[in-house]
Amino acid sequence: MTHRGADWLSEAIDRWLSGLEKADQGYEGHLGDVLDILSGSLPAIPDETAKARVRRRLAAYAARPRSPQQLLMERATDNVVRLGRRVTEEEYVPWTTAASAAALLLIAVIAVAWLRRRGNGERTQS
Amino acid sequence: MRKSEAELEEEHQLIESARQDPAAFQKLYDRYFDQIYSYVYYHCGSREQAEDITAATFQRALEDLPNFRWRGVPYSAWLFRVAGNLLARDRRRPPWLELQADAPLPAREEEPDSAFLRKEQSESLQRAIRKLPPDQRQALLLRFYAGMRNREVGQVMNRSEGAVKLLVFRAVSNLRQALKEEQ
Repeated sequence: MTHRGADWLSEAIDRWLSGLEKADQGYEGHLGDVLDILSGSLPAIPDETAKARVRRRLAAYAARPRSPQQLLMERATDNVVRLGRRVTEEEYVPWTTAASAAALLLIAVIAVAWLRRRGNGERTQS
Repeated sequence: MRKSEAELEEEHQLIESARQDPAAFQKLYDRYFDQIYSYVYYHCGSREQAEDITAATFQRALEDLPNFRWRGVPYSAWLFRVAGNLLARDRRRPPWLELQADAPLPAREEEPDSAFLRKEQSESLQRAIRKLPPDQRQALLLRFYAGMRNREVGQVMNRSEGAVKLLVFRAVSNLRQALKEEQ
């Protein structure tokens, strides 16, 4: 249900992002209320003082371009972190894939049980 | 916030000019400062921290400019990614304090009653967003604030498209729960 809900919600957000319709269409009573608030609650926060301060900081900053080796190391670290996430955190699997995998497993179990029975039957006959 | 081919090409030209002349970076800075600053602010709820992380993000952008390779993806996606990594690093830095929101939202031109209600709702929502787990918060902000697609959010967060879908779904469900509890 969660995965199907995630697919649904994602499509609604995409429609909203494309400006085709309100995000909460078809979601009455199912997260629609939150989408409605969310769609208007995150405006950009202009802060001219901060912008000017950061500009001064950047002007005083002497950029040190990084070497290709350093960039390579950074990418390798990113990949290790990514791998860690895959291992330690729950990664989303679409419900159709999960259902097919479960069906395959069931078929495999039934096939093994049937072959065993058949094997036992043949042994008792001989 | 989706960019047309012409806009992307213009952005490509801006990046190329900045690579040849760092002074031209100013245009990219002006274009993206508010987006990155607001994004970081919604994450941490502190203007001071938002300013620091935004400054570090643009410093990094300046450093990486000579090695930057254009892949037809908006430059903002790369900046959001750097800001996200810096935020994560900042979270790991002890001691971590949960900061309270310290800035009012910009006023909207509305009827006083509806403006007040809207402001109340916005503030509750922002409080709830700050309480979300970092990954859910990042996915939600990239989706709603930056207007990115799942695939783009996945590229920024180094996660699969499906994982992003699930993160956003959980974030929205958690927000709903948090807002209910607040009422």
